[in-house]
Amino acid sequence: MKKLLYLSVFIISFIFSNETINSFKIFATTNVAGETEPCG
Amino acid sequence: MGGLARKSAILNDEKNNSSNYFILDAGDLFFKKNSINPGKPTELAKISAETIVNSFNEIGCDAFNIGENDFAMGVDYLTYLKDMSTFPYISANIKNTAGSYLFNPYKIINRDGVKLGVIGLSSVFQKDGINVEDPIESLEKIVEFVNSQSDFVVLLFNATDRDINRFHKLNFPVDIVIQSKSKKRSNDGGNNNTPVYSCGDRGKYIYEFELKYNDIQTDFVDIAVYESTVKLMDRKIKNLSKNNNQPENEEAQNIKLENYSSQKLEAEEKIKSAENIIVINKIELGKKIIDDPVILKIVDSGNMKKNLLNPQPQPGRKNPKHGQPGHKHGR
Repeated sequence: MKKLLYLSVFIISFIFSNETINSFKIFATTNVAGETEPCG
Repeated sequence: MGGLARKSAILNDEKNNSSNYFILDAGDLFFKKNSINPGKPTELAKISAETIVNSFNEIGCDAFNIGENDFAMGVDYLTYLKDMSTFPYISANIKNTAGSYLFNPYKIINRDGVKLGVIGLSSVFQKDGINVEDPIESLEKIVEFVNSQSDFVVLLFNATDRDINRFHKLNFPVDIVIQSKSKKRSNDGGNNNTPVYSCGDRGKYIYEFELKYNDIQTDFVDIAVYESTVKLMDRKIKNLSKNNNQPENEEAQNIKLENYSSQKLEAEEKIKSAENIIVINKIELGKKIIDDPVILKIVDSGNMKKNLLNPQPQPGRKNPKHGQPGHKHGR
């Protein structure tokens, strides 16, 4: 009975949780040429 | 150019884990300086630039903003590189002498339910055959439209610090700025309304921004700024208790303590209450990262061409004198 209660609480809190669920990523570089050393 | 093979290895990991990511470059991709001496330096720089194009074609790039240094070999050569490239070049303020855009001013990428608007800008510079208009005025003309078409707006800005300050004075609907043309490597986006990040001037870091959201239409909070505030206030509070036996009166100490505690609390509240957050991760393209063999092959092929033009000294040989083949300039 207790297990059932815990499970119900878990499911309900999961459904109504306000946790951040969406995300995306940005990968950015700058000054890539700065790494190269063309010898003059 | 070993960083390219390492950058690719990092992105390959991401490709295997998710499809919800964007790859951007904020400028000064091809050349280190804004002009290159004729002769051998020009030939070597061309090999480097073409190796970068071939690598980026393979790695993928969703938008590349043209910086001043990218014009080091002139407009015609940059156009040649653009024709070789399978990734988009953007700039909202670089025009030809007839007043037409040389590149698309922005790019809107719709991927996995996220519409990312990317605008490209550069601070004003002089170069034959082009007209670089004022970046802030150019931004004003298009930013509302790009914002209306996008969930999240990124400005790629090859900018002087002066132009970044001008940008901050006007409250543009831009979510983040990625600045090239700066030596700084940001730990956070700063305290202004729009976070600005600079990834350094040596191309040795790739910045990963993770954007977590509940409602993409509301503002994103750079939690690194507030985390730094919490750490700073903790330090100040600790120092205050250390200096407790100084002659300073108790009332002044209490005022300081109250002030630091309230700043700390405010920062903690900002982190807790943020609907959408930005988490940044600086990834050093160091030797611990195993190169992507596909890109390494492209880079090695470029290096071979360079060695044919400019033979390197054999191991054990003394560095050749200035003017002799294989002589390397010190940094």
